[in-house]
Amino acid sequence: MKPWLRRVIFYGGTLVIVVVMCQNFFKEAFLTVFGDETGESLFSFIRTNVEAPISIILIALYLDLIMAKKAPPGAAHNPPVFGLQAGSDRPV
Amino acid sequence: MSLNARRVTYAALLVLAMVTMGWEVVYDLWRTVLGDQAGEAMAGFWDLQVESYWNALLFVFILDFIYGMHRGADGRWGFAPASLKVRLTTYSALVLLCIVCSAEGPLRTVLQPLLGETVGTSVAHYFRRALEGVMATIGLMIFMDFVKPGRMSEVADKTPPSVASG
Repeated sequence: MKPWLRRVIFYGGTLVIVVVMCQNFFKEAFLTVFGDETGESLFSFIRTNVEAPISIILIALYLDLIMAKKAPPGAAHNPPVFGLQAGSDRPV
Repeated sequence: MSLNARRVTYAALLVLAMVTMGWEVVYDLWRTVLGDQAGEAMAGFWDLQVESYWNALLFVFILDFIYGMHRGADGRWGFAPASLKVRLTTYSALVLLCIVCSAEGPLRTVLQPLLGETVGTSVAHYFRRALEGVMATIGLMIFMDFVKPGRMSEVADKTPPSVASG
């Protein structure tokens, strides 16, 4: 699978999870499946942890945009542009 | 854009988000752009991300500077962890930050004379809300030291235990 496609799936999927977590139909699905008390409790737990996927996205962005081409310690250069070479996991 | 410029940009954007997302002006802006209901929801959502901002900001720089994460010549991730002393100091600093974050009352007492009543109260409460993010960062450091992600020990054996210069 192409690296850019993996990124689309990863970032897009995580954002979809965030959006779904905040929707009322997600809460109703929990209530239907687990019953009112357990469903409400589980939904509240998940809803209050929406920070987790946002943390994942923010940390992944740092790895992708800032550290993707960081040279090993002692190496001569750090390329002045960012982004990965198209179709490759390797830095440009 | 140089590596340091990218680091600074990232940190600046997150600090900007930290400072502005709870601001009433930003709430008004969201309401103006998206309407009262959706704008209020969106403003509240990003205001609630205090833990995310703190966790991301702390952990990425710990990965970068303490664990020396970098791209190797073969394009794979590599690590050059700092010495045990440096890592223990980092743990200590994070635990100290946890204590500061959890002590909302004493922090408020210290900050109010310096920043004024409203801002002092707000900043102390913001630190209290950040506690989960700091604890998550400590957990991730324990993972890095105890579990060790793939290839970390292999690379660490080959490179001096110095902090990556970037």
